[in-house]
Formats: sequence, structure tokens, C-alpha cells
Amino acid sequence: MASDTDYDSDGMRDNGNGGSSEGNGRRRRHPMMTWRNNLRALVVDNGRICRIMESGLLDAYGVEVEAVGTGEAAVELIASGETFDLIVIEMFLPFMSGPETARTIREMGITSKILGIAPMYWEKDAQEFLAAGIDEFLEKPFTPELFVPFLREIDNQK
Amino acid sequence: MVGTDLRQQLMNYIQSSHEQGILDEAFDRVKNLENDGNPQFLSEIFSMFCHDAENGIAELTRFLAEPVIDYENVSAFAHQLKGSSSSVGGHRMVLACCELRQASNNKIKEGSFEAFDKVKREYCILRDSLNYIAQMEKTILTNEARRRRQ
Repeated sequence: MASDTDYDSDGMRDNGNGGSSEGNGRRRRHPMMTWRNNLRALVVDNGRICRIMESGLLDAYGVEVEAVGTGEAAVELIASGETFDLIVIEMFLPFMSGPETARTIREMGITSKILGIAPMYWEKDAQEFLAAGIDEFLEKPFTPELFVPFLREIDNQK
Repeated sequence: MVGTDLRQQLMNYIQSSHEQGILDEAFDRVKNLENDGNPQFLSEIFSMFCHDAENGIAELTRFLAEPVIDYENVSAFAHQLKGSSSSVGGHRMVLACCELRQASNNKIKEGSFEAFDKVKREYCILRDSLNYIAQMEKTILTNEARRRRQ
């Protein structure tokens, strides 16, 4: 998506068992926004177009992004010691659902901001996801208008 | 100049697609993610979208052809198609997917078939639109590269 010339350093990641993660591992030279702190986000979405766009937008806004396609891979990545300021989880993941993923991450003691997302949902879906420990539930598409306020909040609190 | 004419032609086409509701602002975000480092980005994204959408439509065709329809899976695939089409800015296809999910959640057979027909129609329109845009972009970039070499 972006070339080496757009970044300050290198790095793509593979988290081993449970699926590889796609990470920019780098930060854009000329992002659309800059932050006082280094912000890292994890995108968990089984839809590859959605995953690419969500990662691409966060990257364009100056966030270092890792992206995985399953809840299991997300949990494994976090269990390996990776830390994220923002975690974005699609509701309808295969096998380990979005709510199950969020619940597991919270049970690991992670206090990062977690956003739940879905293309469409019923109210009970949103309630279930919120009860599992996400901070906010958003309807796709995942847009800068939706996520920038959260990034600003995270950056101010760091 | 030819390059300017083609760029204007492309802009007019995109504007027209917006006006017809085929594309929405999400498409503009996709386009803005393209940069000089990867001029093929749009083409790659659209190709991936079409591949995934066609797989999803094939699965929906299979589920809806069953004597006893698995509405849960129909709903799940409608959901996936809505997600991917909303990511590339396919506004009318998004609406069609919403209708399909609604009909399948309510287990309405006729409504599901009608909604699915709409999803297929809107996918074809969106696919053709994205392919045209990708092709125009490619032509413009090829012409610009040729001019730089001269």
C-alpha cells in the first residue's frame, strides 16, 4: 500500500502460531495527523478489504498498525507481549467472536481503548459487545471522523 | 493536454458515480490512500474486492438454492459483503446487502431472493465502475510516465 520511501524504518511482523499479523511496523513520513506520542493500534477483522482499509486509514493518520484476521491471533499477539493503545475488533469474527475476543483481552488485564465495529447490527449485538468490555461500538465503515477523537483522547492521556 | 483531459474525464466519471449513488465518500478515502509509492493500490484493492465479492455471491447462490435455506449463513455472507462494499464506497451495494440481511434475518424466502437479485445487480454496476476507474488511472499513469521519459 505505501512504499519504503514513505517510512522512517522497516518492519513487517509475523506472530507465529495462530496466524500472521500484517503490520506497518513503521510510521508514515507525512501522516495526515501527528501525535505527541507514538500510537500503536491492533486491527482485528476477518474481512481482508475491511482490514486493509482500516489499517490503511490508521496508518495514514500516523498510527503504527498491526492487523490480524482472527480473535485467536489477536489474543496470541497480545499474550506475546505486544502492547497497543487502540484495539479495533470486528463483531462477527469466525470461531472466537468479537465479544469473546474483547472479553478475553480484558481478562488478560489489558486496559487499552477497545472499539467494536460491525457493518450492520441489532441493538442486542451492540449491548453484548459493550458488556464484553469494549469502550465504544461503531458502525462501519471505519472513518477518520469516528476514530480520530479516540486517538486524540489516547494521545492526551499518555 | 491529453493528460489533463483524461484526469478531467476520470473526475467527471467519479462525480457522476457519486451522483447516481454508486459510490460514496468511502471511495474517496480509498483513492486518497493511493500514493506515488504504490500506483497500483486502487487496482489491487478493487481486484481483491471483486474476488471476495464474487466468492461471497457464489456462496449465497449455493445457500439460497438449498431446499431448506440456511438463513444464518445467508445473513453472515450478506454481512460480509456489506462490510467489504462499504469499505470501497459501494453505496448502493451496501443498501442491497442491508435488505438481504433484513430479509434473511426475518426468514422471508421471497424477500431474500429479491434482495439477493438486487445485490447481484448492484455488484455488477459497482464492479464495472471500479474497473473503469482503475483502467483510467492506469492509462493516466502510463501516459505520465511516458511523458517524463521524453
